[in-house]
Amino acid sequence: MRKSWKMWLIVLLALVALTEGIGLLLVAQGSDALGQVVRSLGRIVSNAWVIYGLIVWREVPWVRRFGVILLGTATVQLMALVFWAMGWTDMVIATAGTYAMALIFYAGLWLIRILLSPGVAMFGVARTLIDEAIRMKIALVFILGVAILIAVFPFIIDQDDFLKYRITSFLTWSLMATSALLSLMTLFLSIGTITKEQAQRQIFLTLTKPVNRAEYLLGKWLGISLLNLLLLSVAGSGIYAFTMLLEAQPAQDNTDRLAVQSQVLVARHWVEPTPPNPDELRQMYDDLLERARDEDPERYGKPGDPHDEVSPADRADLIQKVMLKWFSIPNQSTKTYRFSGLENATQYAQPLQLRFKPKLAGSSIEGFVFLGLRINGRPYTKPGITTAQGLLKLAENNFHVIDIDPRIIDERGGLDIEITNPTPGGVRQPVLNFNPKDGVELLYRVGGFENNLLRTLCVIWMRLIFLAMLGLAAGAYLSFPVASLVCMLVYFTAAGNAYLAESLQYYAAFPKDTLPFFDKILWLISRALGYISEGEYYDLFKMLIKLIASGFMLIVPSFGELNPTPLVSDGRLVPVEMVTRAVIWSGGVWTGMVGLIGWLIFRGRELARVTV
Amino acid sequence: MSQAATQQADAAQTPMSQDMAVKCVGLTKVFKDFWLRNRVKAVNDIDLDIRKGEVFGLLGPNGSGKSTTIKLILGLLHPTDGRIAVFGRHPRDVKNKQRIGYLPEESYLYPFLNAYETLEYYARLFHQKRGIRKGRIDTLLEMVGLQHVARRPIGEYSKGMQRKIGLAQALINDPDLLILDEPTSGMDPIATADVKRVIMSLAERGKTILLCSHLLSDVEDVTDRVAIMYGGKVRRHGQIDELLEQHDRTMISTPALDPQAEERVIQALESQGVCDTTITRPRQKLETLFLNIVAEAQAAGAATSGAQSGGKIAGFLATGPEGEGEAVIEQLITTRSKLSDAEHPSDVELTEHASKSHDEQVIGSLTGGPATRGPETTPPAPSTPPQEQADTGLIDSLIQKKDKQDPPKP
Repeated sequence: MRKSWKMWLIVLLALVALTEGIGLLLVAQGSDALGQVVRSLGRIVSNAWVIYGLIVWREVPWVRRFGVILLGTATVQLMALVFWAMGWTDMVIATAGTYAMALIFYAGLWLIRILLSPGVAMFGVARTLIDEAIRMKIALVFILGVAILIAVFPFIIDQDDFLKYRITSFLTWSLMATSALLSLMTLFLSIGTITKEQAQRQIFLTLTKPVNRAEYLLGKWLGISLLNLLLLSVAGSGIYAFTMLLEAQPAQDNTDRLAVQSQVLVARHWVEPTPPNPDELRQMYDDLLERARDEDPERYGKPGDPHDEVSPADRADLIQKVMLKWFSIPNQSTKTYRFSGLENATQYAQPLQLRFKPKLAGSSIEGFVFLGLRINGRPYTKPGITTAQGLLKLAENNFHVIDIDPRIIDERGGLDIEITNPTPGGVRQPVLNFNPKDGVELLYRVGGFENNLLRTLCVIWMRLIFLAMLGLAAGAYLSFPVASLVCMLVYFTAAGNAYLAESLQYYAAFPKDTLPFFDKILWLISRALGYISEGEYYDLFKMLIKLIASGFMLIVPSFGELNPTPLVSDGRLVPVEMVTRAVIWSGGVWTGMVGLIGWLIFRGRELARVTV
Repeated sequence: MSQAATQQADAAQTPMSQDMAVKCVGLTKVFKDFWLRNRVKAVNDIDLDIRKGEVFGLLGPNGSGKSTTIKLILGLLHPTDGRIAVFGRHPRDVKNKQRIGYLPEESYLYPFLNAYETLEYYARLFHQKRGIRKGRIDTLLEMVGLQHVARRPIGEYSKGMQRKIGLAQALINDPDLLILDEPTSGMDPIATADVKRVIMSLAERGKTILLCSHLLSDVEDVTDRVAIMYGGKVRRHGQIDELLEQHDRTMISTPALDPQAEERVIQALESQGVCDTTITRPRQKLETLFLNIVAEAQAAGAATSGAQSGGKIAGFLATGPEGEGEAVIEQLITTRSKLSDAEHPSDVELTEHASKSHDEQVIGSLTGGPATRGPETTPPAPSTPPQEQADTGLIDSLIQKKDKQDPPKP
C-alpha cells in the first residue's frame, strides 16, 4: 500500500514536470499555441491523476489530510463564487475569512500533534485530550462559534458609524466573545474529560500504566492549554485580519481616518494628571477629614486624631470626594493639571493626545461647553473649535482629543495644562467637571496594535490556563453537574469581582475593616444576636450572605484586574506589568494552588469505588 | 506517614519469595456508603499467591469479588485490611506498572480513537520511542487480526473487536504479569480460540497470567492453578488437574470398534470385576466443529467485514526463561492450532484417571504385562498421534487376551 502511493506521487510529479517542461520549451521556441495545449492537457491529466490517488489511497493519513484540505478549498471557492454572483461581497469575505481561520486551525493542530508525538506519558494524555476535544464535537461547537462570530461581527456593526467606533466595537465584541466562549469551552472540556473518564472507566486503563496521577492531571492540563493556545492563535489571526479589512473600508472623513490610525490601531501610554503642588491634594484631604470629624466623630474619629485612623472604606470615600473636587473648575476659575514622565513621549515623533470629557454641573449653552486652554503657558487654538475670544467650543459630555506638539514638553519631561472655566458672552457657565477616572488624560504612542493584540491574547490565555486547572481539580472529585456549577460560580465571581464587591459594600451591615480579626468576629456575633432578639431575621440573612460572599471572594481571583480588552480596543498599551501579573498570578500561583488541591484530592482517590 | 507509604512498608514486610509475582495476605475490601457505614464486604480475608510464570485462574460467579481482587492488585482500590505485594512492591508503585498488562472486564477504550491511535496512546504511556512503538503496534494489530480496520474508530467496532484491541493494548509493553478480566467475553469462538492460543503461548514464554473468568471451559483449557471465589472468599484453590481429577473413574479411548469388539471388551472388563462399564461414541465439541467450518471457509477465500483470524504471536513479546527459540514457539503455536484435531474422535487417547493400585491391577491383568501409564496430561500441550498412526496393538492384545481366556462357544 505504502509503496503504491509513493509510486502514485512520483508519477504525478513526473507528469507535472514533464508536461510543464515541454510546454515551456515549446513556448520558448515560439510555438505558443502548442505549448499551451501541452500544458493544459498535462494539467487535466494531472488533476485526474490526483483525484484518482485521493480516492484510492484515502486511508493513508497524509493523503486523507490533503484530500480534506482540497475538498474544503473547492467547497469554499464554490460558495464564494455563488455569493459573488449574488452580489453579497460581505459574505464572500466572511466565508474566506472563516475558511482561512479553519486552515490555520488545521495546520496548528497538525503541529501540536507533532510536538506531542514523543513517547512521553504526559504528552500521550495531552494528545488524546486534543483528539477528544475535536472529535467529540463539544469543543468544535465553541470553535465554530468563535470563528463565525469573528467573521460576522464586522458586518453587523452599524455601517454608518464612524470607522473609529466600528473598529473599536469590533475589537471589544470579538475579544469578549472569544474570551467568554473559550472560557466556557475550557471549563466544560476539562470537567467533562475527567468526570467522563471516571464514569466510563477509561481511566482504569490509563492509570494501570506507568503514569502517576500528577502526570495524568498535568497531561490533561497541557492538552487543554495547547488547544486554547491554538484557538487563541486562530481567533487572534481572524480578529487581526478582519480589523485590517475594516480599516480598509471608507471612513466618514479624514479626521475619522486619522483617528483610526492614531487612536485605535496603536498602543498608547497614558498619563493621569497630578497637581503642580504635590501637597495640594493632601491638604484638601486633611481639610475634608476635619470637616467630616466635626460632623460625624463616631465614624471618622475625633478632630485632631491621627489622619491614618480612618477605615479604608471611609478613606476611599474621602479620597474620591477630594478627586471630584480637584477635577471641578468653578466659573471664572483656572486649574492646572500637570503631566509628568513624558521623556519617552517623543520616540515616535507623533503628536501627544490630550483626551478629555467636559461636563457641566448645570445647563449648558446649546449643548456646548466653553473652556480656555493653555499648554505650558501657551494658549491652545484650533480652527473650527476656537471662538473669537480664543475659547474652545466643544460638545458637552463627549470625549475630545486634541493633538499637542511633543516639542512643547519641558526639559523635566512635563506638561502643564491650564483649564479655565470662562464666562462666554457674559453668560455664567456652571461648574466644569471632569471624571476623576478618565476625564483628563494625556496619551502618546509607544507601540503598534499587533504587539498590543498579542499581549491581550497572552493575558486571556493565562486566564484559560487557570480555568483548565480549575475544571480538572473540580472534576477530579465532583460529578460533572456539581463540578460545572462550582466552576461557573468561581468563573462569574472572578469575572465580576469588582461589581460584586461594590454591591456587597452596601448590602448589609459589616464590621469596619480596621477592627482586629477577633473583634470582627465578636462584632458579627453580637450583631447577629441583636437581629435575633429584635426579630430582624431578613437582616440577619443578609449579613450571613455578605459573610459567605465576602469569604468566597477572598479566595477567588479577580479577572477584572487583568482585563486587557478595554485597553486594546481603545488603542491603549497593554502594559508588560499586566502580562507579567497574568503569567505569575493566573498562570502560576492560582493555577498551581488549584492544581495542588486537585492533585491532593485525586492522588488518594479510589477510582474503582463503585464496583462490587 | 501517609497511607501509601504505610502500605508500601506493609508490602515490603510481606514475606515473598523471588518466584512470586503476586502475594495477598488477609486481603479484605469493604465498600462503605456516604455515611461510612459498611455496605458490602466484596473481598473477605483472602490469601493468594501467584507464582511467576504460571497461568492462574480466578473463578467465581458474578459478584464473588474477582474483579475487586484484581482492582486491589492493580491499585485501583485500596484494601480495607490485609496486604498486597506485586513483584515485591506496593500495587500503586508506578515503576511496577511497567511490568503489568491489564485487560479489564469491559473494553474501556476511547471511542473517538481508531485502533492504531489507541495502541499508540498506550504505547506512549510506556514511554516507548516512535520506532519501537510503530513496530509493536503493527505486529499486535496483525496478531489480533485487526490490521485491515486499524483506521476505523473504536466506537464503530463490535464488542469482540474491542476486546481484541483491549488485549493488544495489554500486551503493548511486553508485560511480565498479564491480568485478564473476562478476556473472552463478547468474543466469537474463533476469537476465543485465538485468545486462548495467545495465553498459552505467553505462558510458554514465561509470562505470569492472572485469568479471571466465569467461563469455566476457557479457564480449564489454559490455567495451571485456580482459586474459586464465592461471597468474597476463596473456597477452593490448587492445581487444576488435582481439582478436576476423578479418582474413582478410568476412561479408555480407542479408534472406532465394531459391536463384537465392544462386547468382548466389556466381557474382558467384567471378567476383571469391572461391571459399571459404558461404551459410547464420543461427540466432537461444537467449538471444534465451528472452527473447522470457519477454517474451511477461510481456506476457500470467503470475504468478511469483521475481524480476521489472528496472526502469529507478536515477536517482541519476550521469550521464555529457558531461552527457547522462535522455532520452538512456532512449533508450540502449530501444536495448539491442532487442538481441534486432538479432540477429534479418530484420535487415540489413553487417559488414565484411576488410582495407581487399581490401574496396575486392571491393566496388568488385561495385557498380561506391566502396567504402562498414559502420557502426562498436564496442559497446555497434549501431544497426540493422529488416527493413521494410532497404536492399535493395545486393543488387539486386549481382544486376543479375551479370546484366549474365553474360547468361543460352540
